[in-house]
Amino acid sequence: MKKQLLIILCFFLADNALCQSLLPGKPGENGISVERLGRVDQMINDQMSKKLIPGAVVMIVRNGKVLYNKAYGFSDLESQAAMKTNDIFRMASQTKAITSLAVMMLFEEGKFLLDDPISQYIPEFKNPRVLVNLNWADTTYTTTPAKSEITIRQLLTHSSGLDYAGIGSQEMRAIYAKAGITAGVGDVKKNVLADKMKALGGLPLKHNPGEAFTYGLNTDLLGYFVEVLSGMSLDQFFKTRIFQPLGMNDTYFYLPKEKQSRLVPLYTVNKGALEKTKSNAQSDMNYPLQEGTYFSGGGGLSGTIEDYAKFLQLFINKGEFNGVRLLSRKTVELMLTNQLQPPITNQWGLGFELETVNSDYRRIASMGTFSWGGAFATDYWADPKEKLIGLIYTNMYGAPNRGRSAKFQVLTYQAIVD
Amino acid sequence: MKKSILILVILLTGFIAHSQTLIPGKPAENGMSPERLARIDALINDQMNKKLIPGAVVLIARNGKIVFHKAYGYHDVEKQTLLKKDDIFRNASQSKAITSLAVMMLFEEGKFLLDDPISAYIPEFKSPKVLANLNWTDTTYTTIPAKSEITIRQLLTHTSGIGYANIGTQDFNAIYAKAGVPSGIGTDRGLLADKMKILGGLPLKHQPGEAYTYGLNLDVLGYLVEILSGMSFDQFLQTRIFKPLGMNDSYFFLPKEKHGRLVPIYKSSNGALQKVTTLIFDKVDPNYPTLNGTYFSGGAGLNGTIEDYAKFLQLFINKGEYNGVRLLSRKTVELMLTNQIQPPITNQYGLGFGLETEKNDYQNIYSPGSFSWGGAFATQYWADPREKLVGLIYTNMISSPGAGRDGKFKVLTYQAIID
Repeated sequence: MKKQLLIILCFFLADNALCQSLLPGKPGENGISVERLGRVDQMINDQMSKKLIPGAVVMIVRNGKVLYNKAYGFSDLESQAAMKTNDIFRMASQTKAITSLAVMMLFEEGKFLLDDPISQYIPEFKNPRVLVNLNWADTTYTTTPAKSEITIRQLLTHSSGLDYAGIGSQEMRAIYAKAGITAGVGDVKKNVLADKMKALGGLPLKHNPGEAFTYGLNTDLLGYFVEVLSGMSLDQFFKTRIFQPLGMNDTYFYLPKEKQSRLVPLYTVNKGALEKTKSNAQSDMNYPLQEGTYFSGGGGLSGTIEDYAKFLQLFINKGEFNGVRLLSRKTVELMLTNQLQPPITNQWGLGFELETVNSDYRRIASMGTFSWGGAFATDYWADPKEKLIGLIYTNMYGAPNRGRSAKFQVLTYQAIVD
Repeated sequence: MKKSILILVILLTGFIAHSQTLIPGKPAENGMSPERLARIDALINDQMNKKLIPGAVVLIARNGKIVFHKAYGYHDVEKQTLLKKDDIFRNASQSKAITSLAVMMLFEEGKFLLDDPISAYIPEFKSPKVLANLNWTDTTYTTIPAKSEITIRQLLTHTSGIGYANIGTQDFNAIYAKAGVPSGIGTDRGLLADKMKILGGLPLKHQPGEAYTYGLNLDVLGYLVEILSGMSFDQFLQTRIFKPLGMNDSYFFLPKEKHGRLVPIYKSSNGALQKVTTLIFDKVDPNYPTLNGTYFSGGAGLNGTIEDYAKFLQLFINKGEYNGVRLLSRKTVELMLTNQIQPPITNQYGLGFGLETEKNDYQNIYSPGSFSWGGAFATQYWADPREKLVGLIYTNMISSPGAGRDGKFKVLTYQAIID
C-alpha cells in the first residue's frame, strides 16, 4: 500500500529525487550489523595506507534500501580533492550488462530469438571463418570455414569465438589492430560503431562458435545489434529506454560539460607509489570528457555507483524498478540461468557471471548471485536470495587488486545477522 | 538495544549456568520418544558387557535442548570409579573443526581470502615440492616442483598434499619423523611455529588440490591463526571462542584442579580391557592433557567435556550465534557447510567438517547438510541442521574395535525421532 502510494506520487513528480533513487535505510532494520560493517572501513583504510588506491566509493543495498554508501580518501591526490559518493567512474566492462539488458528488452519485443544467427541482422557476419595460422612476419593468416554461424546467445555469453582487441590473445590482437578494431575504451577517436562492427564481421574467429568461452568484443557487436533493431543510436537507446526510466541520471558514454568535474582521474601504482595514469597517442584516459561518436556496448559507459545500483536493483526486483517495468520476471530468470554447457566450465548467464550449484562453494555469496566488474577496478555483485547488492568503485588502471573486491564481498556478508 | 542488555546481563552474571549452557529439555517436547531412546542404553550396555569399552558418555540435543545426556560404566575400571557426564576426554581430531572456526572468524575480519597461497603468510611454504621417490635405506628422497602453491582452502579441506605424521603413510611417517615434525596427538613439547616452519620445507604427498589426504593441514592453520591474530593459538581459542561460548572445560593442557576429571585410555583386545600406561603415538604420555605443555596442535591437541563440544556444534546449528554471542555470520556458516571438493575427488568435505550431501546422503540415516567427524580416542559427533539435532558419543579407547558403536548410536538417535 505504502509502495503504491509512492509509485502514484512518483508518477506525478517524475523528477523528484526520491522517486528516482534507491531509498536510504538503516542497516539494523535490514539484518545488517553496523558494528560488523566497520570491518569494511578497516580494509579500505588499509589499502589506502598501503598506497594501493587513492580512495574508493562503496555501496551496500539490501531489501531495496541503501544501507551503506561511503566515499573514502581522495579522488585526486595532487589537488587533495576528497572522493565523493556521487563521483563519476569509468565503468568499462560493467557496460556489458547494461547492453545485455537492452538486447533482452528487444528480445521481449519479439525482434529476434536467442539462437538466431547474428548474420541475419548484420550480414557481414555471414559464413564466419576460424583462424588457423598467423604468419608473424607480415601478420597474414590462414583460416578454415567455421562449423556454424554465430548466434546471439553466443554473443551474450562470450562463446562466439570473437576475441578482444588490446587485451585478448596475441594473435587476435594483431589481427584486430591491423584491421583498425579497438577495444572501444579510450581508443576510438571519432569512429562510428557500425563501421567497426562491419569490419569485425570479416575477420577470423579464435575458435568455432560455441566451443569455448573467450571474453571478447561480443557485447560491442550486440550494441550495434541494438542500433540495427531499434533504429536508434546505442547512446539514444540507453538514454531513452533505460537511463531515464530508471533514473540513472549520471550515466553516459560522454559526459555533459556540467558533470565533467565529477569524473575521477585514473591512478597507476608505480614503484609503490600512486601516480596519475598518463594518456598516450593510442589511448585518451579521459575519454569520457570527449565529444565522442563511438558507443562501445562492451566498455564505453561511465557513471555513479548509485546509478549502477539502480540497474542491479531492477534485476533483484525481477524486472521492475520504481514503477517502471523493463523486463518480465521470466526474462530476468532466463538471464540469470547458466547458459554455458560442459566442457566449458564458466558459469555465465545472459550478461552476467553467475554463482551456480557448480561454483557456489567458492564464495560466500548465495547461489543465483550475478556479478562482474570493470577494467578500472570497479566491481559489483547482486544476490537475489539475500536481496543484497554490493559495489566497490576505485579508480585504478593496471594495478593489483590485492583481494580488495573479494574481501569487500566477504566483509559485507559477514555483517549479515538476520 | 535488547541485545546489548542481554549481553550485559550475561557479563554481569557470567557464572549463571543458564546463560552459557544448552538448556535441558524433555525428549517428548522435542519430537523424540523416551522409550525409543532407551535403545541407546541397550547398545552401550552390550558394548560394556563385551568389554569393548569401560564406559561412555552420550549427549543428544535437539532444538537447543539437551534431551539425552548420560554417563555409563566406569571412568577407571581398576579403581571402580564411575564415569561422569562432565568427565574430560581427549578430543584429538575433533580439534580440527574448532581450528576451522578460528580460521573462518579471521576470514570474516578480511585477514585473508580462501584461495590465497599459505606462503603469503608463512613464507616457509613458498615453492612447494612433491615427493618423487623415497630411498628407504637412508630415508633420503627426491622431489619435483609442485605445479602450484598450497591455498588456505586446500588446508581446510585436506587437499594440500600435506600428510600425517605417525598415523599417515609409511613414507611420510618416515619423512616427518626424521625432520622432527610431530602428529600433534599428545605433543606437549616444542613450539608450533618451529615445527610448522620445518613442515613448510618438506615434500608434499601429491600436487596441491589433486587428492584428499588427511594430514597436518589444521596444525598449519593453527599457526596461521597465531600469525594473523598475534596471539598464541591457545590464547586465541580461550579468549575468542571458549569463553564467549562458555566452553569452560576445553583446553590444550588442563589446569591442575581438573586433572582428576580426565579419563584414562583403554585398549580392548580379545574380550579384555586394559588401561594404557605405555607411551602412545609419537612416544607421548597417554596422560598428556595433564602435562604443562607448550605445543598447541590445531589438528589434535584439544580436550574437553561432551557438553562443551555440543555448545560448539550448536553454534553452527544456530547459524553462527550462541547464547547472545555471534562468532560467525550465517553466510559463512553456509559456506563452511557447502561441499568444497570437486570430482575426481569424491570425499564430501566442507571447511572443517565431513559433510552429508546429495551425493552421499543415501549412506547414512542423517539428513543432507549434516556435518560430522570424530577423534582418534573413539569420540564421535554429528550435527544435523535440518533436524536441529546434535549427537555425540565419547569413549576413551585407543586402537580398539568400534563394533559399529558410533554408526548404531546415530541410527538409534534418529529412530527415536517421532515428530
